Order: sequence, then C-alpha cells, then structure tokens
Amino acid sequence: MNRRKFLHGGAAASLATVFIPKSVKAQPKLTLRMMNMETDPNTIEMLKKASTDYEAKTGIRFEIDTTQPAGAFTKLATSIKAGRPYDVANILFIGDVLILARDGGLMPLTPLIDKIGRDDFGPRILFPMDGQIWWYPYDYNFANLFYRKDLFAQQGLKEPRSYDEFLKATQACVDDPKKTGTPDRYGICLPIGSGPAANWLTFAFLWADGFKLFDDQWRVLIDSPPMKAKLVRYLTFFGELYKTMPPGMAQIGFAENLTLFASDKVAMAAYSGRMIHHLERFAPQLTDKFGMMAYPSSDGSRTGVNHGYDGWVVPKGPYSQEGYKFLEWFLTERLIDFYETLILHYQPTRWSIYDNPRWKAHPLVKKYAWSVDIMKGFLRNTVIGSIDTEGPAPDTRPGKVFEGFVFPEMVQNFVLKKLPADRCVELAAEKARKLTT
Amino acid sequence: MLGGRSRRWLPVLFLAPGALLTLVCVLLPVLYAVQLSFYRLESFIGRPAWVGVGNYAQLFQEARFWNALANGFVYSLATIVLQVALGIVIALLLNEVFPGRALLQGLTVIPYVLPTVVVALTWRWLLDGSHGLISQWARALIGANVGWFDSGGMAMAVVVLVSVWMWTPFVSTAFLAALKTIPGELYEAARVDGANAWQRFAYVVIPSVRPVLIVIVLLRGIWMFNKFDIVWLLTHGGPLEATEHLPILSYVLTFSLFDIGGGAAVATISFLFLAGIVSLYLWLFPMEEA
Repeated sequence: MNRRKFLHGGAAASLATVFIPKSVKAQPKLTLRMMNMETDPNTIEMLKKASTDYEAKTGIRFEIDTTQPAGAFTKLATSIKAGRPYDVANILFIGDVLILARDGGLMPLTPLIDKIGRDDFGPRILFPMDGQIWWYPYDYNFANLFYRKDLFAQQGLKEPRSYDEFLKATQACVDDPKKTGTPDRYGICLPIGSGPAANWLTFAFLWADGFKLFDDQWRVLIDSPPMKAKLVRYLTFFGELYKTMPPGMAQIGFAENLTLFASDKVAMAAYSGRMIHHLERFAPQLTDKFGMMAYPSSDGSRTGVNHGYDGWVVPKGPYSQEGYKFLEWFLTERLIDFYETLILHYQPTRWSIYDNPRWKAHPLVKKYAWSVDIMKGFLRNTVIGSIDTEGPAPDTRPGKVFEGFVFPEMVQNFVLKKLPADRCVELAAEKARKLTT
Repeated sequence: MLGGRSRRWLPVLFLAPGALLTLVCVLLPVLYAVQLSFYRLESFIGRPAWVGVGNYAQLFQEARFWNALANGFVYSLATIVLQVALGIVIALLLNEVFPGRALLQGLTVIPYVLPTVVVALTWRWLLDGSHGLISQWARALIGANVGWFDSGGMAMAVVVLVSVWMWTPFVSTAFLAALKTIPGELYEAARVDGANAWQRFAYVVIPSVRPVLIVIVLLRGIWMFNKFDIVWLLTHGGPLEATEHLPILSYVLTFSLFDIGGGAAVATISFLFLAGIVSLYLWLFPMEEA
C-alpha cells in the first residue's frame, strides 16, 4: 500500500465513523466487569448473550473476563486490592470465598438467598459464616465414579459396595491377555499428584468411611487412633488399587482422567457429569455402556461423593449494588440458560431446578434421566464431603490442608516412596498441624 | 543548536522515561515484596500484622525451604552445565562448512522460540504414562512402564532435560556468533604450530570467546535459578516437593497456602542469594578482565 492509498483509506474510515447511525455508536451508560472461570465455550457465549440482554434492558454492560479456575482467586483478590474489583464473579473454592468474606472483600448475599428460600438449597452448600451467606452456589460438581457396565456384566460383577468388592471389580477388569504386565485396559485411574484433581477425585472413599479431619476445637484428628485406623485401611486398599492403575497417576489432571475412560484405557474413573458430555462428544460408543455410583466405604455400610462446588460472588466495590442487581436478574432470568450450556456437568444446587420444566426437557437430561436420578440421589442418601469443607464450621483452615496437598502427599508417600502406611499418616498429620496452627 | 546547559540535561531527559518506568514497574514492586516479607498476611486484601524477621526465622527452620534451595542448586547447576557443554558442541559443529548448514542453524533455534507453555504441554503429552509417544517407545524397548514423574530423581531429570532442550539454542547461537569473530589467521597460525583440534579449541577458541562465555554462564545462571514456568508446568514442584525450588516455594506459599509474608520472604532470600552468587561470580571472572 502506498502513502496515497493509505491516506485515502484513513480519510474514508474517518468519514464512515462520522456517518455511522447513532444507534450503532450508542455507548452503555455504565460498563462493569464480570470475572468468569467457567471456560466452556457455550457457557462463555451464553454469558456474553446475557450481558447484551442486560445492557438492552438497563443500559449497563458487563464485560466478561474469562480466566482459568486455578487463577481465579488471585485475579479477584488482586482486583479488590487494586481498588477496582470485578463487580460480579464466579469462583470455585469455598475456602477462597471465606477468605475474601473474612477480609471484607465481599457483599453478603444473604438477602438474595433468603428471597429464594434456604430450604430450596440442597445439603452442605451454603456455608454461612458470621451469620451471612457469601455466595450463590450454582453447581455441586460432585466427583463420583463411572464404571463400564458392559465389562462388569462380562465378569459377572455387581456394583461394588465395599473396599473388598471394589478392589475385586477393578482387578477383574484389568485386561492383560498377553500377560506382559502392560495391560490393554487397566482397572481404574485416580490421580495422586499434588494438584486439585487428586484432592477432588481420590478421597471420597474417606467421607464414606466416616473420616473426620478436625474435632470441634479444630484439633487435627488425622493421627487420632480411630482416624488413623481409617487412613491406614484406606492406604492399604489404595495401594492394591494402584496396581490396577495405568502409569502416570502422579501426573494426570482433569483432562487425562476423562481421556483415559473415554479411550477405553480404564474400566473405572472418577468425575462429575462432565464425563457424560465428554463421552457424547468423543466416545459415543460408550454412552450406553457406563454406569455411575458413589464411592463405597470400607465395610459397605455407606457411600460418599466429593464436593466440587462453584458459586457466584459480588465483590465489595463502588458498583456492588449494580453487581448484586445483575446477579439477581441473572438468577431469575438466565439461570436455566446457563445450566443448559453444560447441563449434566453443572449439577443444580436447588431442588426446584430439578423440577423446572425447561431444565427437565433438555435432551441430555431426558436421555440420561437415570444418571440424573443418581446425581440427585447423592443429595439424599450419600455422605457429601471434601477436604476443604471439613471441620466443625466453614473456615479457612481446611482450605490450607487442601492447598497444602496433605492427602495427595500421604498417598504419594505410600505408593511412590513405599513408606509404611502408619508413617504416611503421621507425616500427613504433622503437615496438617503445621499448616493450620 | 542547543546551549551548553541544555546539552548537559539532554541525557537526563532521554534517560528519565526509562528510569521512571523501572522505578514504577520494577523497583517499587520489589520494595513492596520486601516490605511484605516483614508482615503476616493471609490474603492480599487482609490487614497485615508486623512480625519483623519472624517469617525469615520460620523459613530457616523449615526443612522444606532448605530442600527448595538444594533443588534450585541441582536444577540450575545441571541445566547450566549441560546447556553450555551442548551449546558449545553444537556451535562448533555449526561453525563448520557443510551442505544444509543454514537450514540446520535455523532448525536448532526452534526450541528457544517456542512458547514455554507449548513446550511443557508437548513434553507432558510425549511422556504421558498411557498415551505418550516416548512412553510407548520406552515400553516397547524395555517391556515395562517408565514412571517419568513417579520418583523425585526421575522427575528432576525430566525437568532438567526439557529445560536443556529448550534453552541450549540460546547458548549455541551466542557462542556461534562469538566463534564468527575469531580471525581465521589464529586457527591457521595454530595449525602451522602443530596444534591439534583440542589444542586449537583450548588455546585459541576458549580465550577468544571468554568474554561471551562469561556473560552466557552469568545470564543462564540467573535465568535458570529464577526459572518458574517450565518447572511449574511440568511437575508443580512434585512429586513430594522433589522438584520444588525457591521460585515455586514462593508461589505456593503466596498463592496456595495464603502465607503472603512467607512467600515474599522466600522471594527476598532468593533475590539476595542470587545477588550474592552473581557478585561472587563477577569477582572471580571480572568483566573488565574478560
């Protein structure tokens, strides 16, 4: 392009700007910011659409800033510290929410929750602190187990109810026809690395078994005789289970976990409803071959699942009221649209959603009605636990045990370093105490 | 024409924007981090409590801190030695005349220009226990699975090798540029005097490129000691803190364990430690002499 053409182009662009209709150039009366850590493309599109609709209705635009879940807390806290916080945000870790609330960074959402009605929410999800509720939880995100029904049927296995049955089932599913020691299919995959995947997917056996991390005075119970016995039992069981797992469990994260099940490399894996979306997309041949179950306890008396929850918060700032109003509008007008973007992954936290005609009419909810029943059943008859929500009340201390990867390291000490189980438990207790006192 | 007084102020004027930028973007954050290291603070928006040198005292009692320091030494020393050794060999080869040399020169730089996140993800895929190409080759070769990240030693070896793969091109490129400055007559004179290849390398090449070599080792040392991204992306410091060095410890304390003062103290110690090492290095290998 020569200089003359360049200047002509610039002049034309300037003229076009002058004559653009006013409606096209219309600016919102206020532009606010939403931090979003849901990275599914459909969800992001939906949020943008909701923002556009809200702007048309109120003149207030919400710019969507999508970030990786792992960096969400830092980003949100930094925005608050910088004096211009995001005006509304979603975040995944209740420990983070409570830290921000404790330090005065969040607006309480108690009036919003009370307007909906606390009874509408399922168990263990609101986590009130200092008499206030600080988030609107929209997703239970339970980690549960997926297994291959067809392989179980071939082996004459029923859904395992105890550690022993579970171990036998995974061992039976290992497919090593040439006896090479490198099977074509392994029994199960459970991450053990020091990362969020292991914290979420690997320890619900303990909740089923009645494990408690703290007593009522926030004393660490890990090496107390009854809890130590549970942990030693769990480690012994896990050590055997580990022999049925593919290599690389110290390294796998969420994506590899999904891939291993979808690629027929393992007969069992843990995940939330996202696994079904993954199978629908990448392994449709398995969509009628999988079953879902909660984690069994050692004696088969109970089952458990692990929290993975996500929720909306309104940071305290000059436009908190606007953020609050947007959230109220969003929850009233757009919540089902939001769920529809990843309908089996976002497990609703309110009973009324399960009865919502639009939600129920979604093709995937209809197709997998049996799995929706199982997921809903977790709310009634399964122990719901997670490392970061352990303790007598919502608090930041279990979050430190969670982020300090005390439990994954306990397992690593056992299966990788081959330390005796009771020593692994003692080391875990030592680290948990150091982190929480 | 500028007057004498204006001319005197001209350099200051030119330097001012850069100095201001450095002050705002580098110096102030560093000072803020040092300040934070004297406080107990559990979130960026909480109220800090003065603890003096408490965070430092605490750190010096922690086995985890000493482990991170040792890991940092192992990682940076191993990567520097391998990068420099391999980089020199590659540069010497590329300095020879052979068909396709230009193409090869271009290819050897590729690892260095790739974004770190791409390198880390690619290597993670290659080494994936189930589907990784290298894992499958290793399985076919030895008939057993290789736990690349299952033991501390193996994980450190992987991190070192990937780092060497990625940053050796910097050394080879810089060294090659230095080789090009050596006059051909020097080689010729050495040959006439009966020097063999090794002697030409030791007595002609090394003395000639010594200044560049000193700078390369210095830069690589600083960069590798502070290297965070590749280690974090490959291992997150695991397994069992076996690849956790000071930058990772600082990050984990600050952003995972909500101990911002402790994290800042680690960063400050790391900075002071590195400053000490660099000073010692420059004292041993003065730039003027170089």
